[in-house]
Amino acid sequence: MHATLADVIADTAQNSIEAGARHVTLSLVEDGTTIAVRITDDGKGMDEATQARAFNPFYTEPGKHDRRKVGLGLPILKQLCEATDGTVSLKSRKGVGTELSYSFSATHIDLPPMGDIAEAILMLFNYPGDFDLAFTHRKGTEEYSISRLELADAVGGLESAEGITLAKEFLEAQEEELQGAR
Amino acid sequence: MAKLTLEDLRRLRGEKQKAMEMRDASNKDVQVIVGMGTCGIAAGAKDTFTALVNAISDKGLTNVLIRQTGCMGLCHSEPTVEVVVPGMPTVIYGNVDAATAKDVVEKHIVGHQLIDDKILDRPSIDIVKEA
Repeated sequence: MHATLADVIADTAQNSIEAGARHVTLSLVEDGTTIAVRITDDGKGMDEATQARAFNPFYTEPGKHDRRKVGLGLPILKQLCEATDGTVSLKSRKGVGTELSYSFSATHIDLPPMGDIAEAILMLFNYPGDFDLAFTHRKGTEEYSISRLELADAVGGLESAEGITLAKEFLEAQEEELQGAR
Repeated sequence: MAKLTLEDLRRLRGEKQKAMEMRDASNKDVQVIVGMGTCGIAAGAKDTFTALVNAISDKGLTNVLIRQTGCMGLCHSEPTVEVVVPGMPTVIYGNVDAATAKDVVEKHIVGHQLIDDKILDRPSIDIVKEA
């Protein structure tokens, strides 16, 4: 179980990167009553049989982790969604890509705290590989969007201490501005 | 508060770039790789990552690549950090908290001394691509 929603979001979006996606979109929408997350990718996708087993904790993609027999990411996500009056839906086509959408009731007593979204996005952006990830965070009527390649270009790469520090400042400033919004 | 824009970032970067070029013109030949799987994050890898970035900035090191990787199968000793420095054996440190992360930068990368009691392993063959 993740301690914060930021960790849940980072974990589920990381699946897209690990599925070899070139383009990932991640949106986080807070409207006061619901927190909704949608992740789309053009990774390798799953056939119907695999999708049917994706929420089974005793199934994991063969070869993903040597000798590991469990795959807990999606099952724990489902458990959290169900526990917080939310929903979860997985749509995928093998060779085309995957869309994962989930939501929580924003006021549910069992909902974990949001956590540090700026840090979670920075971690996703810093993940190695040749992919773009477009992130949008919407809260009420305000929103901001930033893509990995755009930010990497602006700060001169996300693998140096300077680049990472600047990117973090930027993401924190966007989040701070959004948190002030109603 | 005025919103920080991408233009601001480019300007900030331009300012820093000059200082960076004066410090060091060589290429990035050192790598630190932080295990950021679910296990690593649960054990505090984000704090480790931040401490590494801060320590590298403080020392003014411009030749270090900071990367992350998923679970390396060493969940019992997370957070783990792999350090690649030319002329030194590549090692994986285990249980790297923020204080140890600072040591990794100051002792290993700057001082070229291994931190003996934190060495966990050498990278196993199956997770390292042959050069």
